[in-house]
Amino acid sequence: MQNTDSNAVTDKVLSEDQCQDIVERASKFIRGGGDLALSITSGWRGNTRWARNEIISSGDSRSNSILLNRTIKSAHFALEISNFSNEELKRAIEICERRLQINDEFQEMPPFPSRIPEPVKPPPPKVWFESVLNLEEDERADIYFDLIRGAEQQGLLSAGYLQANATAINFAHAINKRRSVHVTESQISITVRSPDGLGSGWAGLNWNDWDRIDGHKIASTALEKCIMSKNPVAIEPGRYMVVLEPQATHDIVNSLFRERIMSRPDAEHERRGTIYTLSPGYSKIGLRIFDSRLKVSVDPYHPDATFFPGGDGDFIRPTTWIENGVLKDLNYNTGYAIQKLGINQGKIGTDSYTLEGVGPGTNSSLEQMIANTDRGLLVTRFDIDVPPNSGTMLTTGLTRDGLWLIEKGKVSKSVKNLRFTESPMYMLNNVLEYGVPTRVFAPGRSVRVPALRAQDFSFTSTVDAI
Amino acid sequence: MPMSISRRRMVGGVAGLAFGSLLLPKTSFAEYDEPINPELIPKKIMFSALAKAMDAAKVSGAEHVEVSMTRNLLQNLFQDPNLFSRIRGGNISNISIAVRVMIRGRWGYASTNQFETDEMVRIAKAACSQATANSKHRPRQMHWTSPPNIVGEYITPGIDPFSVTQEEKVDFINSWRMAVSDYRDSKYEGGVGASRIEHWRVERAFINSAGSQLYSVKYGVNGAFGVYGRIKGANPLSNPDPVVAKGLNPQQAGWEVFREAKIHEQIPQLIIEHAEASMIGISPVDIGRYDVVCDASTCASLITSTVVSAAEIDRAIGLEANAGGTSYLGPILSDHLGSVVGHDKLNVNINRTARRGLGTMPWDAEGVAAKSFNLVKGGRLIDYLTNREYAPLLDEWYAANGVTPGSNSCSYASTGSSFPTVACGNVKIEHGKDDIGVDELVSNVKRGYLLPNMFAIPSFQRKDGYMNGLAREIINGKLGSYVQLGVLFSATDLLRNMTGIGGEKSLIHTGADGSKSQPRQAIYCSVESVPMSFSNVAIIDPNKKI
Repeated sequence: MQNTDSNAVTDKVLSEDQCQDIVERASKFIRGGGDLALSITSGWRGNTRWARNEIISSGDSRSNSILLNRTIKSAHFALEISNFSNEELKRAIEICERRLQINDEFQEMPPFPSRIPEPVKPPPPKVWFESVLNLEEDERADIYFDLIRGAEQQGLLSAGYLQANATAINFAHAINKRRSVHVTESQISITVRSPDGLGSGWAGLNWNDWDRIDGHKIASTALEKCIMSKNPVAIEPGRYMVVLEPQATHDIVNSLFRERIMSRPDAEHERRGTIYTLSPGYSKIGLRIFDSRLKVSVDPYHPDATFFPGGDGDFIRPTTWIENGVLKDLNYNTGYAIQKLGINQGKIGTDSYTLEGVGPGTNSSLEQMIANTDRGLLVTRFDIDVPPNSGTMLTTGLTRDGLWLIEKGKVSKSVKNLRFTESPMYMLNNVLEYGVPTRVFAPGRSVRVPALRAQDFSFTSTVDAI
Repeated sequence: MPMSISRRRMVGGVAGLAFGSLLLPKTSFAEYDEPINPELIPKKIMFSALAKAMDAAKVSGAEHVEVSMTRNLLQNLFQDPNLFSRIRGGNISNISIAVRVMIRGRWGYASTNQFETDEMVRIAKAACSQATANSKHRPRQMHWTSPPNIVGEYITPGIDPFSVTQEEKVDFINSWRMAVSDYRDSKYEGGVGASRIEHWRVERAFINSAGSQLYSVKYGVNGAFGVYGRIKGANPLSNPDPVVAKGLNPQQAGWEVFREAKIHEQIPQLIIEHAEASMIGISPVDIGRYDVVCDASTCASLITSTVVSAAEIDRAIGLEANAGGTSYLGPILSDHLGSVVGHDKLNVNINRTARRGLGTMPWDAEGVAAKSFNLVKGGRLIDYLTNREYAPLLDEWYAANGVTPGSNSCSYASTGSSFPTVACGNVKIEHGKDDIGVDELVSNVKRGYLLPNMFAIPSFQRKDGYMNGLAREIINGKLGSYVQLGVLFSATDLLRNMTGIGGEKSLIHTGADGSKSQPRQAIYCSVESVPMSFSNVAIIDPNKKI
């Protein structure tokens, strides 16, 4: 058995003992051999939402569910229920078994992986924090009241969202193999706008540990951006040098590192071609596809990273996906690992990633990048409109919540938002300077990316939206 | 979040809900599962549980209480011959109990999926605890419309799709495929695309502290059946998407929809339509400003995602600033009421009465009796989508215009555990007086493009937007080649530059979807729409950076 925090006890989610009780009760109803895989998810969410400097809603939501996956020989059948009474467990398992009685029809189906991955060694990092559990309604109301003051004193309007999550996930097989993980996460995002709607600033962050989030810094960043962004002037669209703040970097490169895009093209579950596909069934592993300074990796043991269990119950392991601009690996699930590679564990987790530059020009501060720019644009973040074309990754969207013109090494004026049409593939091959990776707002994920300076970024039109 | 529309999107979206249930019964060569506990929960049990929560909330100091229980069942069967040989399917069943309370002018909310007596009491207390915390720094005096006091029951008319056997559903979907393979013609031959049958049931009980007691069972269906065609011996010049059978759009109705669609009778025409379409070549796009004709589906997307969404009152006054975005029809409502938002032939109505509309109900999520109202009349904005809390912001406008004040019944919760937000019921874009359709609108364009089945993606302020897809060029009033293009638009400019609008014969029923709020809520509604033509629209090449 593996647990990320054996002391994880709260009334907000099911305990390990409660999960074990469900597993034991369910196991007694199995008839006809085979295995019963149980995935129990128990979640709590507390949130507080405010706008125009006033709380508009807050909630406490709890839910428990269990996915039963009954396997006999190579056939499997799944059902999800939310009632854990003996009656309901028995009924659900009987439905599964009734469906599996005609099992000769199932031979063409790939067998469901029957091995549970070995525990990660060394033990997974700490992802369960009391600081998040303590974010009860009273605490959240106090935080809200504290964080709106700056905006209110300036005659501006703050809108924000503060959320705390706790999730217990318990994977178990009737044949006495079990793993559980308890995870917490907190997130906060704040938008400050001028009452006339002509200025807007934003900041946000998520972390497993609320103590790692500086709410005042989030609030003051959003406030400063709002003040600085007021009364923007229109500029001509075209190709610009851009200095992207870390959030903007994430917004545009994010699509490159999503699970489905970054999957092995020969893996059973992923047959589509992507930018990492050389030809049908063959990947670009070993080929250089980006700027030679680029490194993309995931390391849950990094002090500024956190991790979340993957979709098939697998855990993220330290992995380098891209190094020196060369594609080193692509993800695959546990089923693929067992069946095709003869190993016990998949390699997943590209939704959480660290992007960094290694080598010359990779340690610049945002101020240095601005100072090095003769004429360009400083971007707070992007709003992506259209999912990228899977071949070129060309996409379009808008800048938002703060866009400024840089002239002769200095931020000179606020400018109206622009529509961009760009591919992160092209952009990552046009980078002049990288900053140091920092955490950005990506709820449910751990993403660390740098600010960066890139040339020839394409803006296609101005927009009125502020 | 960007809002986009369409049946195709909605089909895809709901498909993603299906979990991996796999089955191959010998007789039907299909893989599907069956709903667990498909029967309705006895009303008496539901209301008894809600009453327990109500009592607990009152004891805990709640000044206003709403309690609801929602049980969802969703089932789908689908097949894509390009991906797998058999019919697959899955189902989802869940239950949510939620309590919303008001204490000293602030809301509190709590929900659970555990249908147990102790949980009723626990969530009632939790909701009160939230409201108490929220009011400790800034209590307020609420000025909202009176709480509704209605006792009612509503059940979607039609055949309960869960009363139809799995075998019949599988046979039904198989019969479509067989009809295509049995098709015989000297000139054309057909092929099958993806097919889907999907249906759901939302069973909801609601009470409030003013005495309302509401019970509803809403059934919905959604389907798709795509057909390919080719001319024997001919080399296709393009590869358009399969032509989709009519009558299967998402709607609040029962199993009768699938029977009424008469898919078998449609198949010959679908095959011919696709075969002819595949003989149309593809031309490169000429960027610039052109006259365009948008079919009714594209217009539904354009108008619902821009002006309708922008008129959600919470969005307009800035409550969505950190979530779904702001609105070009705000933040000061009086600046926009009565202003021109489109051509004087543009009229938009919001209602909860459309036949088979997804939003059709006698009341909204907070129990307010359904209301039909004009949002845009003669091209001018004359109202907003409102709920009880924010409707009073329009009192002055209503008084000046002789309108009875009150909520427009636009309270909406996407799930049983969602805090109600503001969203439309059904949207009706009024047809024009002249009985014309796409063909007539195209005939009036000298040089331009027909934009069919496109999804508008508005900016976070709902005004500027983008869409792309496969269009048809129009030359001297006639349709020409396919063109892959992108469209940049400003909602106000575009809608003011309307040059034509379809008549009654061109009206279609389609679906719309979007999202807003925190945590995010998905929004679905039905739209009655007509085609329109517009002048001076910016056309770009979506595959080039500039």
